[in-house]
Amino acid sequence: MIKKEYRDIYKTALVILSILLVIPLIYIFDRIKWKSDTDYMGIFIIALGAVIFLLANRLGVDTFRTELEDNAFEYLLTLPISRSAIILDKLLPRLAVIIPPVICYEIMILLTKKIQWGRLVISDFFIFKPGYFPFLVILFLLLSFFTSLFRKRNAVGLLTAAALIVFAVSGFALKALLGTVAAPFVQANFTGMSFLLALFVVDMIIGTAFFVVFRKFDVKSLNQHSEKFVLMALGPLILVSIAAILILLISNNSSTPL
Amino acid sequence: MIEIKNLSFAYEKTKVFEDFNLSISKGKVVLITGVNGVGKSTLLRLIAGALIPDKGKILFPAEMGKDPRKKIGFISDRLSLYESLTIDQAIEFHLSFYDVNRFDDTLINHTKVKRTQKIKELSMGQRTIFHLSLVMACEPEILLIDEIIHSIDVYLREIFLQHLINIISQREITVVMVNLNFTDIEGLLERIILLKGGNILVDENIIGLKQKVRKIVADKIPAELPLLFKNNTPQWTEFYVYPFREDFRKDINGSVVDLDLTEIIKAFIGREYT
Repeated sequence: MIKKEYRDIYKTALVILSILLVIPLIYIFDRIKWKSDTDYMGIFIIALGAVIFLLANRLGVDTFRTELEDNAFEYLLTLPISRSAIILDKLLPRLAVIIPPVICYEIMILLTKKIQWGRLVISDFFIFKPGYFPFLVILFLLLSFFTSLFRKRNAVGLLTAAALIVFAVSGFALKALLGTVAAPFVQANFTGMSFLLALFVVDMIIGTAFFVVFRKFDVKSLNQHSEKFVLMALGPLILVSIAAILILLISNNSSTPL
Repeated sequence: MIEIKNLSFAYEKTKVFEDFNLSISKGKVVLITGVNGVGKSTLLRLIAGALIPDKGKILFPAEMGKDPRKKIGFISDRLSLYESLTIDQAIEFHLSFYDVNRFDDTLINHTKVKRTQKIKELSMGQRTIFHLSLVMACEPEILLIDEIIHSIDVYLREIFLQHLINIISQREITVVMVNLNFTDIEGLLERIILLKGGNILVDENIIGLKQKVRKIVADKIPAELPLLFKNNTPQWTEFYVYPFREDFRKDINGSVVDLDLTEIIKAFIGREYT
């Protein structure tokens, strides 16, 4: 199963990563024609970081693509393999594909001191910081992975949107809880820990709902399973967002930090 | 061999089975039939593990191991496989779940498929034969065949059935088939189960059932005879009687006709529509 999964995804990974080839091509063109002093290495590293997020999303979203497109769920579920082994066999190749580019990114960003675009220090954005980047990529991949089975259902689209809102709101709330003032999302020297934790909480909620539903997953209508999944995930997400909003309100009204 | 106990299953709000019980002995060839939508294919999917019962249990003998699916071969009417794989890749993928590494391609050689062809490029018949080969490579103890035989051409159907006959004669394999056309498979069957409204309406061995159902061609029959189904043709009226007893003959003013399986099932199913 792992071999098949790997075969299914490595081409996708190559296609997505090949987007980056544009940058060396522009660099060559620049050397010949414009001779500007643009920091192409910096652009390449940031582009690599962005493409890795794109790849993580694609790999996650495509988790059950072949089963859905080939109508192969019935076949898969009648094979002697447990539901948890199916998840593991799908997850491991995805991690194996995403980890090498992440390592490349980490090495490159650590070797580069600062990546700037005008006055904006892009390398200071928490999502590009080497300490947060790998965790954010993996959590992002997991979020797409957990919602992939039901991705064509409207309710799941709403759920994903809700999850991202909860991620943002609870990120600010956690930051407030940690004693700092809620700051604009894009700001230099921004601490990413709050958002990393917020994404972890969102992943835990959606992941738990996915595991519970997938444990009893069968070839009944996908809508039926999808409904169960949305209902299971939505309750805790609403509770977390209410708690986050309350924390934000209290911390904004209070003169002393929480 | 297969023990279904107090099984309940529903698709959303449509109940299919409630407190359903059935046992199928080892080595028997059983036909499950009934009107469309009665739950025949659902029952096979429940046994195969593609569907999970809402309540109740499906028990298999301990010797089938922790995961009985290892010993179950299922050929569904959807012919569900990874269509984007080539035949070679599909074989490698399938066998990797079983402790088997040998694939007998005698059967698929009849279908003129190439091992490099993708599953989606195969015709219905080729896919069915390939699916049977794939399933049989893993030497299942239980073979579940959904209503697929009659969607393939006569030549491949014969190959399929011949192979099935060979398997049944060589090994003690339990075969559960779902079908609505019985002419080709009548010789294979030992037991027939007719479902109605999530319950078993008829559960008989084939020989016994053939003795119990008779067609009477007459103007009328005595009211006390257990009438199963009445069919009016332009020329005469056919009365299907079940259960038929030999002593009924003295009261009948007409001819009593022995029936083949197709006609018997037609009578049972016809009754559901009248």
